[in-house]
This record gives sequence, structure tokens and C-alpha cells, in this order.
Amino acid sequence: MTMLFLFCLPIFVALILWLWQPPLVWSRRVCLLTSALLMGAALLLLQETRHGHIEVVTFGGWRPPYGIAFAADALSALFVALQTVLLGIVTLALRPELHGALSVRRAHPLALMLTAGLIGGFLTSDLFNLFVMFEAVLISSYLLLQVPGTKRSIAGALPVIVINFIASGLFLAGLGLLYGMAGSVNVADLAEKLLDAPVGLRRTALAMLVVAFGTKAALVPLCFWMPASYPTLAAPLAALFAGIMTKLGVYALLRIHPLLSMDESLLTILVWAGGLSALFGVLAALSQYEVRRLLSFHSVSQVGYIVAALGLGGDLGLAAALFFVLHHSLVKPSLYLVSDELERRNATRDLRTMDFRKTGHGALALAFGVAAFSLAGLPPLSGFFGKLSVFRAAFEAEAFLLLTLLVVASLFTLASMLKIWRFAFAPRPASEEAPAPAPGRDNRALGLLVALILLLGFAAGPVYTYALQAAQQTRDGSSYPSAVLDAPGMGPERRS
Amino acid sequence: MKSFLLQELTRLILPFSLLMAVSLLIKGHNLPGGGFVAGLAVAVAGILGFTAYGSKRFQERLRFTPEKFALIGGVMVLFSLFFPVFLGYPPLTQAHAEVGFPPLRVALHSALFFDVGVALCVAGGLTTAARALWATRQQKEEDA
Repeated sequence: MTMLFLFCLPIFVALILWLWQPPLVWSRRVCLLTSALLMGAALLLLQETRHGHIEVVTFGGWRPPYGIAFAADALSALFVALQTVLLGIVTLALRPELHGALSVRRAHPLALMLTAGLIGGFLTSDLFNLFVMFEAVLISSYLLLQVPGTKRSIAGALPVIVINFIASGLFLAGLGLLYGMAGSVNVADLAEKLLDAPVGLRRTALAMLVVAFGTKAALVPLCFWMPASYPTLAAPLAALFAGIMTKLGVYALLRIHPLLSMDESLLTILVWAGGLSALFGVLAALSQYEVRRLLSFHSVSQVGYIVAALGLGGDLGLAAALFFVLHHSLVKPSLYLVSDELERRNATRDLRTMDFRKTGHGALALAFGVAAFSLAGLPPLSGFFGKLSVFRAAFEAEAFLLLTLLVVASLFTLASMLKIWRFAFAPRPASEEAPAPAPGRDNRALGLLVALILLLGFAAGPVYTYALQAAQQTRDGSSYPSAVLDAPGMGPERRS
Repeated sequence: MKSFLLQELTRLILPFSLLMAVSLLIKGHNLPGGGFVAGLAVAVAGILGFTAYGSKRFQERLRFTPEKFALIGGVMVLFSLFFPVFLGYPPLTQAHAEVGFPPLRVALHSALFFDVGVALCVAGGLTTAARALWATRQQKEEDA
């Protein structure tokens, strides 16, 4: 019931907002109320799935693999909760007076549809259903990319559409192969049926899925759609995209991890794609002078850490990936919100033309400091624990080359954050008259995010323990399948 | 763009397209077809109508805006999702019954309601999108 509520409420509210077209104040209030309700439901779901319990809803009373089931384990619940929190924060950050009344009005229902797609994707146990959710997310994101309605936004959206279209095609083709082999597209069912499938065919099908999910997660060498598109979005929407949309790809990889671990070669590919993304993304970010482009290349790098940890496998690897997802989904949106504020105060997107006197000091500098140093991985912030857990997983797996790569990338991360600091915040000798600092404004969304980052840093221990439990549950090839396949419903009993 | 040929052809094609949609919808339960495809067929009719007669004139004949069709469809889908839940069954559970007397017996299925919802949703959504594209183009022609 909680799951149905989480999936259907945003769709319903989006439909209402779309047709009713209420005054902007009301649209915003309805959106905030919806995200509050969703957050409540997500908390309930976290509570229900806390001790390894798996919630299952079968549709039409047919048990998988005949029917489709939504199943929530700790992994799904964590991602759902993350999404509901980000939705609330993004709605709070979208301000008509800053981002244009029309843009915000259009963005509200689309953000809700995006949320519904993401939540559905996190909850479903059926790979074809996951494909449908991917498409729902992508369609909403294409439309969101068009919200500004400028030439630049159309140009930016084109690579996104083309690349994701190809990736979706690969996903579908891979699913076709899996269905042909095993006669099922349910993750739980596949975990059993793929065991005695022909190795070559299985590898081909899974490799197609890996490439598709890797594209959506923006891994090297399939990452270039992302930096092209994000800078044209309104900053809070870019925050939503960066915070969670690439994570759907990561989630899908985590969900099919039991299938991938049948084939070590695929995991090795993931490790190296992740490691190279981590290094390449940060080098590309260092060369940028536009804050948002810099940040979006950074996302490539950070997702690289996550996927490398995921590829290393083991409880430690998956737990590290999960913790890093949490950390990145809070830090990256907050940096986007900071960049929004920087661009507004300096009236420019280019770092080189920013002036510390316009930026001013105070709350914004503090927020940037917390987010940037967390991203760079300085203790006691969340990024330190995230990186530590990834490094530990790499060390335990004796992947020393990868470890070196990640440490080097980490140093460059610090350098790129210092670059923003140097141009936008740090005093520089200047010849001109001192311009008046732009007036600040209260930015509750940013404040909330920074508070969450600090909280994640201080509560790293319990959160990591939770991530470790979720990782064990995900890797354990029996609890999820048995919960899903033995759900009450019609259909023949499972042979065991 | 006002083309006599297109308008007359539309007048011919439109009813058949809708009939085709109904047939796809009904046989969809056991044969290829169903709500989504039926929705596509309706959308073809809608798009053709907007193209041939222009958005204003066709809209007057249509009475409801395509968005409303989509909303009604969406509500129908959500309703058939939740109705069984309130009766204590899993979501989307279906019921079927045979209605009528022997010469005119029809097997009815509650999934038909869901399918109609899907069809309205798809048709409404696609027609809305097409109409929006068409409106921007007309705007440009007027501006030029």
C-alpha cells in the first residue's frame, strides 16, 4: 500500500496540476505538500524494510514471473527516500522570481512525473517494467530540458535524446535476449534461471544491459550527453538531475548485481569504466570555466567512484557504493544551488569574470565550503567517509592500481573545488572600483541540504551500517527472489 | 494550411480510424491489440483532424480539449488500480462476467475499463503534443 501510494500520488498530482493550472503560489504549495506526504511514506517504507523484511505488492493478484510485482527491500527504500527528499528541496529551491514564472509552472508537474518514474523504477522487480519507468523518467527529463525554450536548451537536449534513445534500444534488445533464454524478465526469477544458461549468450545479454545502464549513469566513454544538457536547465532542476537521475542507472546496476556476479568479466569492465570515469571526469572538470559545466563533468567523476565500488563487488564494495550515492545525491545538488546563487550575484556564468566583492562572504561561502570540502573528501564531512569506504573496498579487493587512480582523482577534485573558490570567493587584487555586493536572499533549500550533508557526516557510522545491511541483502541471492516469487497470488507454486 | 483534398480524406478516414480503434480495444484482451494501440489509432484520427481543419476549428467540433481526455483516462487507470485495493484484493485485480441472455451473451471483463483509460490517456497525450506543435507552427506563420 505504501508503495502504491508512493508511485501513484505524484502521477495524480501531476495530472491535476497539468489541467487545473493553478496560480503559481498554489502550484508550489501543492508540490511541497506532495513531497512532504511522499517523504512520510518513504520513511514508513524505510521503517517497514529495516530488518531485512521485503515488502511485495503483486498486480492483479498474479505472482511473478507471471505477473509484475513491486518489491521494496532496504536498497529500494533508501533510493526512494532520497528521491522524495530531493523533490522537496528542489521544489523549495525553484523560485518564480528567479527562474521565471512560466518555467516554474511547467516544471512542477514534470518534476512530479519524473519522481513517479524514478520511484517506480526503484520499486519494480520486473526488468521490462524498469524499462518503462526509464522511459517515463526520460520523457519527463526531455520535457524538463525544454522548459527554458531557448535555442541553447534545444541544442543541449538533442544529444541527450539521441544517446538515451540508443541506450534504451540496447536495453530492450538485451531484455529480449534474456527473455528468449530464460522465459522471464523478473530480476528475482532470472537470478535462478540464468544460472544454467549458455555462458556466451548470457554474457552478451548482460553486457547490453550494462552498457545501457552505464550510459544512463553517464560513465566514460558514454558520458558526453550529460555535460551538454545540464548547463541549460534551471539550476534547481539541474540539481534534481545530477542528484538522482544518473542514480537510476546506478540503482539498476545494483539491482542486477546478483546477475552480473555470475560473470566476473562484466564486473571487471565496470571497475575500469568507473575508475577511468573518476579520473577523466575530474580532469575535464578542471579545464572548465563555466561553473555548471565544471560541476556536470564532476558528476561523471563521482559516478565513476560509485560504479568502481559496485564493480569491486562484495559487501564492502556495494556498501561503499550505496554510501557514496547518498553522499553525492546531497552534495551535488547543493553545489548546483550554490552555482545558481553565484551566477545570479555575479550576473555571469564564467568563473573568470566573477568577482569576490560581488559574491560577498558569509552564508554562501560557508555553504560552498561545506559542500566543496565534502565533495573533495575532507573529514569530518560525508565525502570523507564515502571515499574512505570506496578506498577500503578497493584495498580489500587488492585493486591497487584502481586505488591509485581514485586517490589521484580525489586530489584533482580538491583542486577543482579550489578553482571555484579562487575565482568566485577569494580576494584578488583588482584595479577597478569596488562593486557593491549583490544582496543575499534567504535560501532555505541550500541551508537544508548543507544541514543534511553535515548530518550524514556526523551520522556516518549508523548510515554505513545500514548501507552494509542493504548491501548484504542485495548480494544475498536468496532473500529477494524468495520474497518476490513466493508472494501470495495466483500462479503455479515455485519448484524448489 | 488548408487543403481541400486533405479535409475530404480526413472526413473519410476519421470514422474508420475510430472504428479500428474500438475493434483493437475490444479484441485486445485475447489477440494483439489493446488500450495502447487503440489509443494510437485514436490519436491518428485526432492528429489528422487538427492538421486538416486547423486547431481552432477542430477544437470547436471536439468540445473537450485533448488534455481532458488524457485526464479522464488517467483517472480511470488510477481508479482501476485502486478500486480492488479498497475491496481487499491486490491492485489491478480483474473480474469477469457474462452478461445478457443466451442469444446475446457477451463476456465482459473489468480490464476493459482499464484499457479504455489507457486508450484515452495515450490518445489525449499524443493529440495534445501534436496540437502544441501545430500551434507553434501556426504562430510562426502568423508572425511571418
